[in-house]
Formats: sequence, C-alpha cells, structure tokens
Amino acid sequence: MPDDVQFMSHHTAVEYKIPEPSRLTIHFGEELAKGRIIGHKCPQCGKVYMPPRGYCPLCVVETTEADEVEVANVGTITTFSVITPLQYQGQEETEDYVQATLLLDGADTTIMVMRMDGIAIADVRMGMRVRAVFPADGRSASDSQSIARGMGLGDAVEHWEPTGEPDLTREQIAEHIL
Amino acid sequence: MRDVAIVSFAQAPLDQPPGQTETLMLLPTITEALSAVGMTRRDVGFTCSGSADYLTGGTFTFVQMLEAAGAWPPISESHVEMDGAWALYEAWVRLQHGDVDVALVFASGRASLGVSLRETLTFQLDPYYLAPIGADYVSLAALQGQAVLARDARTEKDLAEIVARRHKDAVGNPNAAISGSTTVGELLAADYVVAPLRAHDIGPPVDGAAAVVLVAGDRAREVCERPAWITGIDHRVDPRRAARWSRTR
Repeated sequence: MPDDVQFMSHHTAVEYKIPEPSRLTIHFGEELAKGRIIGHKCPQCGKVYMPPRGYCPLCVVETTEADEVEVANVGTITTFSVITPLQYQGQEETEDYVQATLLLDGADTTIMVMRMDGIAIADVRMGMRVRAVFPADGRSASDSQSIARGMGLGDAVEHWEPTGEPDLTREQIAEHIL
Repeated sequence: MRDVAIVSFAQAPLDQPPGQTETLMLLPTITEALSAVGMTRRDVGFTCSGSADYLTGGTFTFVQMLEAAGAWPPISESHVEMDGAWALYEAWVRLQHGDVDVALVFASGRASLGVSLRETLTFQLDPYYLAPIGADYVSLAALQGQAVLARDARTEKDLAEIVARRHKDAVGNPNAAISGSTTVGELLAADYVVAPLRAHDIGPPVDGAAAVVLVAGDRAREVCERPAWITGIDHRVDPRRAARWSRTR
C-alpha cells in the first residue's frame, strides 16, 4: 500500500426497536413453554410448517389457528456442524458443540442451528433419531417470549437424547439436508 | 414503445394486528390486486418489488417478502432497494421487451421500527460529505422547499393550504394516517421541524404494503374497463455531489 494512502475511521450507529412478536409467534412460544410443539398445516397442500408462519409459501395462502397441528418432540438430525468457538474478545464459548438441522416427526420444514446439548459430539450423525427433553417444571411466560423470538425451538429445550431407534437412511432425509 | 397501463391497485389496511410481518401484509394485498382483474399469480410474467432494508434494519429482509409473491415454481423477478415507484418503473421497462404482458409490482415497509427515521435514512446518503453533517431527508427537503418557494414566489401559506386540502380529502379514507379539518391558521402556528417545513408537511413513518398490476397492450383493455395508461415515466438519480443537485427542476 503506498505511503500516501490515508485511512479514515467512520463509526456509525443506527437504532431500531426490537419488533414485537406477532400473535402467532407469541402463541408458538407459549405452547413451547409448556413443552408442546405446534405447526400449521396448509389446507391446500397439507405441508406442515414448524414454526408456523401464518401462511404456506408454496400455495400462497394464509394459515390460521384452524390449521394448527401438533408436531412430535422426536425427530431426525438431517445435517450438522461441529462448532469450534474462535476465542475472539467477548467470546463466551470455550468447548466444541454441535449445531444440527432437525426434521421433527410431523413437520415438513426443518429447524436449524439447534444446539444438541446432551448428546456426545462423537455420536452425532446424519439420520440420527433424537428426542427433545423439556424442563420438568416448564418455562415461565416471560421466557416464552424470548423462546418465540428464537430460531426454531429457541431455548425451550433443555437437552436432547438419542431415542435408540435405527437411523434414517440418506435417501430418507435427502430432501431436508439443506 | 408498448402502451402499458395500471389495471389494478391494492393497499394493506393501516390497521394491522400487532407485530404483523411485511410478508403477511403483502400476501392478501397481492391477491387482492390480482383478483380484481381476474388474475392469479400464475398470470404474472414479471414481478418487481421495492423495499428498503434500512427501514427495519434487517439485511435481506426483502427475500422473505418474496414468499408473498409465490416464488415456487421459480418466477422471473427483481427487487429494487428503494421503493415501489422505482419497482414500477423497472416493471414498465421490462414490459417494453414484448415477451410478457403482465407485471406485478409490490412494495412494503415498516418505518415504525426505526428509532429515528431521519437518522436511519441519512445512512442512504453519501457517507463522506452528507451523512457526517447530518443532512437528513427532512433537511434536504427543506432546502428544496425553500428553493421552490423562491423560484415560484410562493409562501408557507401556500404549503399550508395544500396540507389543509389533503387532510380534508383524506376524511373517509380508512388508510389515511392523518385526516380531518385543519385551518391554515392552525397549521402555520405549528413549530418548524426544519424551516420552511412543519411536521404536517412531512409524511409520518407508517408500516404498510401495496401492490399494482401493470398490463401491456390490448390485454389491458381485456381485463379492465378503464385502464390507467402510463403516457410518461422517467427515473433519475441525483449526482453524487449534493452541490450539483438541482432543487428546482
């Protein structure tokens, strides 16, 4: 870089309000706090979206509480990453952990970046059958709001455990790996 | 040049459930605009949307809104990082190619999520000369306002008369954020935000969505009794240096 190149610092800040969650998102969080996972089933194509979005993007129709279905707390790891936390300033994580993409039984959509606490990293594999374990005494109503804002099941699940069932094959999960 | 007409328009109601997402504001709005001319999303040859991620502070938020347009099977679509007016311009240009006759244009925004819209929109300006001096959109509009008043020998009273008429015209429109009977005297008594502009001269930040259907040629007459033909349209970009902007053209 030539010596006469100057660098200028440009520090900016923009403030936004955290959007309030929609009624549907709040409802999803409240049910999760009770250990119940709900989705919306499209009245036209029958696909189940979990978390529910309030519409089916394939049929482009709105879905409502009339379309609510329950999704199982067991499912399949379709893909995963082992995260080795970089020790940058402010980093709180020190140990490796797994983030998995899960297809819960009854849902047609996967949930991603689910932290698989409770399962040894070496045991995690594509096609593995797992079960969500919720806190025994449930979560408070205020927790359900932060749960609702989270990705997938947010912080609702306490940990995961293998179900012991045979793994699903690559072909069986092929459409849900991304 | 192909003749292109607006055959349909729909707007999301101002009154939305709390926390309503832009996608869910858009979905029924698009359906309404298309249904009004007997069309579905399958009839659309080109889709163009306009939105500004800076309003909500979420990168690529416009990608989710595409689900309201119905993007499976894959569609031919484009997005402009600005507003629906520019998206409409792009759709008009696309229709000139002659291979498709129907374009869907939509736009949405949740301006209520910014703590200060004046600060937020400043980030869309030149970061070297304009943003650091806080040349926000209201100040720039005020400069333009002064220039236009001087050019036309008009006064702030003329501005207030326009506002009073608009407030009155808006009565009975459920989608008008502001409406009612105001007098020029009341309006002029209000404080400046940036002279010569007062709060009522500046649009309030609202959340909303709208959709327009454009149809080219004879097809427009087939679907609509009174198509609104676009007889002139243009899009310009200001030069980068603010000193070179003309405020009175």
